[in-house]
Amino acid sequence: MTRTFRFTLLAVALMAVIITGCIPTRIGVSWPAVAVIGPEQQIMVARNEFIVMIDPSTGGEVPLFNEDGAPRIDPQTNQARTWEINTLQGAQFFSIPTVLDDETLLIADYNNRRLLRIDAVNARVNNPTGSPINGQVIANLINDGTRVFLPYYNHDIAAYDMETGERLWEFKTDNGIWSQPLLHEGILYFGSMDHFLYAVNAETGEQVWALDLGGAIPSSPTLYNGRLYIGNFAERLFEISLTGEILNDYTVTNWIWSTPTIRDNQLYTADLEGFVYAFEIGAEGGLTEIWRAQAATRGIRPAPLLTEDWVIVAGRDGFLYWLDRATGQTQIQKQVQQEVLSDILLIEPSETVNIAQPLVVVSSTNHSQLLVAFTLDDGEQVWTYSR
Amino acid sequence: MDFLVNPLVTLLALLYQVLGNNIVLAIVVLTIIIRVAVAPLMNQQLKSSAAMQELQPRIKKLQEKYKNDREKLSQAQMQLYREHGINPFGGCLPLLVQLPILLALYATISHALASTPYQVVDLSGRLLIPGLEQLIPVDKIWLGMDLTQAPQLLITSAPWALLFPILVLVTTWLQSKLTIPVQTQDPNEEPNPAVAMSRSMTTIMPLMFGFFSLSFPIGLSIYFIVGNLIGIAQYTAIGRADWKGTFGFGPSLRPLATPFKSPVDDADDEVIVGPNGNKRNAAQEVLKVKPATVNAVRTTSGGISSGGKKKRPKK
Repeated sequence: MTRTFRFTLLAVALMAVIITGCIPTRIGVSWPAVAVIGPEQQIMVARNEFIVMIDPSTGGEVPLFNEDGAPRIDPQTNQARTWEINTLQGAQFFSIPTVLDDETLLIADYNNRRLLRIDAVNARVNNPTGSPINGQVIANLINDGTRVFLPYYNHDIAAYDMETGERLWEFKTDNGIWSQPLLHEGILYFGSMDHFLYAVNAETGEQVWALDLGGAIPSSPTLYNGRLYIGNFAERLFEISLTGEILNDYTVTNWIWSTPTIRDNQLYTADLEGFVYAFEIGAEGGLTEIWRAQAATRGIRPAPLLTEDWVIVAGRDGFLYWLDRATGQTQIQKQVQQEVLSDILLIEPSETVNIAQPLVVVSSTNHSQLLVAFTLDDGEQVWTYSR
Repeated sequence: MDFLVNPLVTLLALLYQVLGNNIVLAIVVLTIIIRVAVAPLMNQQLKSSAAMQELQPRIKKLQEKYKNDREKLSQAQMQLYREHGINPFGGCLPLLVQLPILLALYATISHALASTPYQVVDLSGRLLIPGLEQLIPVDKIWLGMDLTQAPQLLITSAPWALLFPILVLVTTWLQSKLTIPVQTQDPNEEPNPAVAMSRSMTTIMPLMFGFFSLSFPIGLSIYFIVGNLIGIAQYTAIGRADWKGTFGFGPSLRPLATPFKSPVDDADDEVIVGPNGNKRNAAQEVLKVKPATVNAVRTTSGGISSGGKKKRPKK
């Protein structure tokens, strides 16, 4: 290798490092989508090229069995098969499937813009070529028993027939819909990054009303006592009637991405500066602030998890915080290896699936701690699932 | 780098608001503002490197002359630099100041074009002026293209997006062709790695940038293109773009304001006979190097002898 060539190679490598180093790391479009599925409380994780089902009692992948009860063996690897889908060419998943029936799930492949039917019993895709759809999806899907609703990442929402895959209607929005719509009495309520909160007839796709909230809305609304609660990037939390009128709004410190959670007439939300807010909901509506506390040193994206005693939040600082519901004081904090952006899951005690005490499960953006389970009561780490 | 990026993201958002929610215009104007702001530094760097380049023949002569005595060589070089008012590191310092600013500008555009949940969540807290959050996410569609997408992903929906990597390649090539000084190589001499490298960089850099632009968001390609065009304009304005030498027309390299006429050139082979009959090298005379620090003298045969002692003439 000549000296000149080495010099040139070095200069090119240096330039490549500088250029690529300036681009923010992209480990995917979105964070892991997680959800608790079925009475056995199995945890589904969808992230990039894989979907996997985790046993909440052990933190291991759910094993598959033959009809005779023997472990199912993969003929190609000669290993016991677990519930995992990761062999579809070019497929990417950032949302949780919707359950069609006991044996079938429907999921959107982000990259290839198609709907896939998953055999939930055998962890196989029934239609590997998929049914084409008009956009990419990162929000969790929802169905009403006959139609499945697909909020598109770039703009619009569409309804498809669950049986035939035929597109029934499409509703235009100026920007993407990044969260699962709320379906209530035949109306879909959803926020869009175009700043509007929409109410759309689920059967016809016609707009019932649209409300400009002055900032992007990346989260889902919460319905409580006939009112909608939602936050947005205009640093505001809104109370809205089902007829589309703003009843009250409250200023917070930073952007709200968390879906508000409500329990015992108390509403909790968090913002992207790490603040957590507690409000008392009045009998006739209206919110009275109980406390606000900066729990995390960086933003809080997922919705707070509420229990009788705790408000549990997870931050981009890689910590999980147990706050006293009455005072907002941090009582326990536990660290995971990377920021937590996915929803926080609660696993209830169950004798049938051998879970002795309630667990809090979080997903970090680091695959070495894709899922981490802590006991609800004292924050003791129980298991970790890594890939 | 947040201390640089966050104000720039805020400025970009303000420009976006002022310019009718047009992100392309905002990127262009921000790039111009930043390039103009760092122009004095760039000019200083260019002047310094041009001056260094013009001194190269003399440096080379000194290198030949003192090839066995590094210490004396460096003293002679420093003396030469001092004589012409050149700081040998004058080209690096402005570059070191500019580089973080330009990298921050690059990062700013990446952040401002946030389109995925990951990018948008990272944008929170970067806007330093209240009210700008209402602009998020920015309108990323321009000429039917999603500016946050890479051209290779738009081949079917907007094939004209492929023009952008080509424009990046062409403007990068043009900038390097016009501004990287052409170094000549004597065919009788040993291959000079620096010359070969500057030639290959003129080819490799544009190809590399063009190739990267295929997979970078189009918004960043716009930044590259505008940056290159401004760079070419700046170089042309200060007379350091060789249009005539490259294309045979247009302005040629302007001579430096204070052309270097170093007596070292004329003097370094000359032997001065002093009034008292002692012989001294004219270059030493010109460089006014203190005798105590000079430890090499030209011998009568024209070679260099080094030994640490100066031969004192007899009185």
